[in-house]
Amino acid sequence: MTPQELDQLAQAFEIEPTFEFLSPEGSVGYPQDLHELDINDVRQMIAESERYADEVKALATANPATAD
Amino acid sequence: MYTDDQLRMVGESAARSIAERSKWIHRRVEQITFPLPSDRVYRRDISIDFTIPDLAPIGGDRNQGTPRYYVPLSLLERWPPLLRLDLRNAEGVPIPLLTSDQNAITDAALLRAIARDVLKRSGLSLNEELEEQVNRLAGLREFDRQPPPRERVLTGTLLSLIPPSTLGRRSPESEALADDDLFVELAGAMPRTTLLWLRVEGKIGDREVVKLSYDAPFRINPRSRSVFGLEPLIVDFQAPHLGGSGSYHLAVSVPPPLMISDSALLLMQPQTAQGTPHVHQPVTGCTSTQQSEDFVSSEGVLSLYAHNEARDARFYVSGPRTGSQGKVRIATVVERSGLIRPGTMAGLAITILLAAITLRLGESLKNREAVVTTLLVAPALLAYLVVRPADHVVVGQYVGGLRRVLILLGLLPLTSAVALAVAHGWTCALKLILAAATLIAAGSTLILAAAWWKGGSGEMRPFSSSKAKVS
Repeated sequence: MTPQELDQLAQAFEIEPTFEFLSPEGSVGYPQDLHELDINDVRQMIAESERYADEVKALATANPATAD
Repeated sequence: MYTDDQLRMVGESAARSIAERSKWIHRRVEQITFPLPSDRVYRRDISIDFTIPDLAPIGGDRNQGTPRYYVPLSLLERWPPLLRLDLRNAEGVPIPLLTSDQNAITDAALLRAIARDVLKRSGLSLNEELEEQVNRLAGLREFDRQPPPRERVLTGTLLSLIPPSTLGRRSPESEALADDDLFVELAGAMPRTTLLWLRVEGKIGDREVVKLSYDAPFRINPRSRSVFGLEPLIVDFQAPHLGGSGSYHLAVSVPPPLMISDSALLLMQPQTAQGTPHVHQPVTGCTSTQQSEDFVSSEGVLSLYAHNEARDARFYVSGPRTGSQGKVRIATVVERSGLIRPGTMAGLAITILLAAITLRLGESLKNREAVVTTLLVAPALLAYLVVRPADHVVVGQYVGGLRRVLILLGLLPLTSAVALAVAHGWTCALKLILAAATLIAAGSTLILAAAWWKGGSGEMRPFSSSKAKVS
């Protein structure tokens, strides 16, 4: 399978399925929870955490007396 | 009845084996069927071929009778409980399962043993606080009947993803554990899942086969055009063992009158917690018409196969792929000879009949009784297509639109017959009613004809078609 064919196949997998047959099983080494979580939510949480950390750092730099 | 110490010994002894599972899990064969027509569940029958790894036998003494082992062969969601779970050995004898409390003790012992090994390599030890956290992840301290809140799943799985700059400095023990793929992935899965320890009797190194089956629910996302047979129905099968160990076989059989028009398999790069879980990079894949050549990676050779024939599809993967995420899809269509072809023929006949009556309304009114009788026969002919033994819920979802078109086609001659019977003579209103019925019948027949024509076209093979469309 050429890279173009693989890319085309990956695009065909983007179509929303009509039926989803879920499996209650998982295999070790397959991070099920990561798969189930929407990665955009995770990214947003990380971004918010980083923004908060930056804000705290900025506040501490601006006013060292209140850093604690 | 096993003591807690016996179970702990089993869990601890499995720490090394579970890291090397690709060496002792040889083959996993899954079959998906739809035995219960009225329920929104499907059945998975699984057989696992493996060699008993180097584990401690339950009960300790290997010399008294045949040793008995509990082998960690899969992960199972804690909640909800599986429907019709059945575990059997190769001879078909039922195998008892550990209770949830026994499972938690064994899981926790395994996770603690892995954690101790990881920390020992870094010259560290498992402190009381970490041990408590590990026990909680394995469900030993708090066994929730509901899935844990997302925050706890995040705590278990994603800590290693969040950069230390965000969370502050972690302890050296936490850093070491977060750096170990096996620990993070197992600990990440533990809050929601539990290990499936299957009991076998024999000696270390014996080849064994166990069989399990259960029913699982499925999810429906209705799509408008596919219910009219104009698009294939796309079906996804979650198959975590595609990214597992040994060779993996999956067979799918759909209920009639559905047919499998296409099948495809896609393997993504390993999604380890330490890697790049947000990147779904396909590694290789295959369809029923484009078989993948063996994919050579640094770890070895991957072989993939997908094929469909009538109501069955088969998939196969072998080679090193632990931690990969795999996807399996099939496209299904309604068998043309069962519902669509007779429906199209009947639609065509009804359209011609109504058109003839509309165009020769004067003469039709002179032979009113014969015309009305003829019009009443048409719905009866269609009834055999609509009123059939109950279809499987999967089939009903797919052919629902086509059935509605057939019902409409049956109502049109019925309405026309009533209009003709009550009419006093030739009127413009009667002509208009019959003309409208003819047009609607023609439109309905066109939908059926389109479904018939499209049923054999390349559009019903969305994975194999070179012009795969993305909606």
